Amino acid sequence: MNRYLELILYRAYADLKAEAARGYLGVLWWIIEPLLYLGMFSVYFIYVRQQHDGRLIPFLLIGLVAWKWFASSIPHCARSIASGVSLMQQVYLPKYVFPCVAAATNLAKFLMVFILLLAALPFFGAPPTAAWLTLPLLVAAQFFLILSSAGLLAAVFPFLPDLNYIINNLLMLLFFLSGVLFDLNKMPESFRPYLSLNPLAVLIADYRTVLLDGEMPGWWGLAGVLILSGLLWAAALRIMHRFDRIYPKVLVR
Amino acid sequence: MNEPKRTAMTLRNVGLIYRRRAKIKDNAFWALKDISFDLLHGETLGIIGRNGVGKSTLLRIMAGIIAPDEGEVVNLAGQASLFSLQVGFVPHLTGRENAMLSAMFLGMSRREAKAKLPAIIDYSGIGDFIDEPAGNYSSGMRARLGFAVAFHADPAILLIDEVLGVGDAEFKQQSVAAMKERIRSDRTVVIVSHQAEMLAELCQRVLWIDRGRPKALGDAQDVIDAYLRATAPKPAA
Repeated sequence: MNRYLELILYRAYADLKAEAARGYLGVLWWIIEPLLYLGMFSVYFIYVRQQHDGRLIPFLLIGLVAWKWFASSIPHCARSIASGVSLMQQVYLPKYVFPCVAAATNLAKFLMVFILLLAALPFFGAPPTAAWLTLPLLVAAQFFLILSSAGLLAAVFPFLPDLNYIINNLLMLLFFLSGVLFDLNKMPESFRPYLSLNPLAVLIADYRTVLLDGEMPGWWGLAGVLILSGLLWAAALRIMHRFDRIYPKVLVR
Repeated sequence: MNEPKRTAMTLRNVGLIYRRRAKIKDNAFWALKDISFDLLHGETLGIIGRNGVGKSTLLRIMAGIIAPDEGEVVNLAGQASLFSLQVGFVPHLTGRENAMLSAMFLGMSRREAKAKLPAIIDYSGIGDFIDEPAGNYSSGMRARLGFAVAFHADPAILLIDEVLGVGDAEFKQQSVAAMKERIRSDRTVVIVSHQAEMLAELCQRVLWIDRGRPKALGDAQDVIDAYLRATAPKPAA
């Protein structure tokens, strides 16, 4: 296990460095895209819907940054086993290595953007508070949620190549169901229980509670996210283990 | 010194099926069937056969990369690895980073890889270019570095698919010589090839595979002679 952890970390470092060296905008897109969305949605909310309570911009920014992390990681991790085919023909690797590398590179990019977000928040009237100390926990929970759900997708992806399209459409749907654009707590009472079944919505609401209100995250919701992620990861590992030495055969066509 | 050799790996009735779901009929065919043998510690076993008879697939099964659909493989020796060149190489990383990554893919811990790095770099003869991006290397330099890493990996059972030496003429000679020396030492090695002379030179025993089935297994020269007789073009009648 230890050797594979080292391998995951070194490979993630190598991938990040290669991406930076390629000279693509790389991590810059992680900043540009949320800002573009921010511009679009601010115009919509302020000029079209005539809503502006001063908190709108940091509110949207937090949601968009957390969303960007999730939405970029899922397809990348989900494809990871299928696209690791040439490597796994040459050396034996336990297949969890592939989604772990993808999740780790995405975590590193997110952290860079997240630190910028934290630095910017005081200018929007949200200075650091003691509640910010819980942020590592929130980030860890989201990381685990990404790894486990994408890991499960990665485990079945080699058998279902069409999953690609389904994932993209589901992400679009999830964007609107995760409270990136609205406040969960302001939804009609009858709706709320359903929305809070969405772990990503729970996390995004928690980020805002911590960063904007300076209050503690909802512990029960967080525990729920962790339990769900644990179950998903257990299922993912089981499938990867079952097909460990079958994937290299299936993926050759 | 004359004690009987221990078994390094046992294959019993190994079979592998490939399914092609192209047509309505599910046409499956056995790429390998009924392969059984004991690989002994320190021996060099050759596997011969025409192209596409499943030789490389058999090596992948022995390396633990693919599971057989039938039969079993018991590895008693430890790590069995393909002799793989330039595993995981990324053009945008430096030669040094690529060597580290490749060595770790080939089974070394980070510490072991780091410790072997000077020897690998020295062996590759790349010199100061080692800290340049591998994308700037000539294909010959990449081949040298890839070989140097793979050569230092040194698994308990070495599985070689055709390629002994790589690179420009000079390095090819050097790398072939190094491989031959390693094969002749008391290492456990399996070589797949359709070059009869090379197998006759290096192996004690040879397994002949024909259309996925074992045709003969025994003394290298005997099996190779039989193989050459069977595959020699028939004189025109």
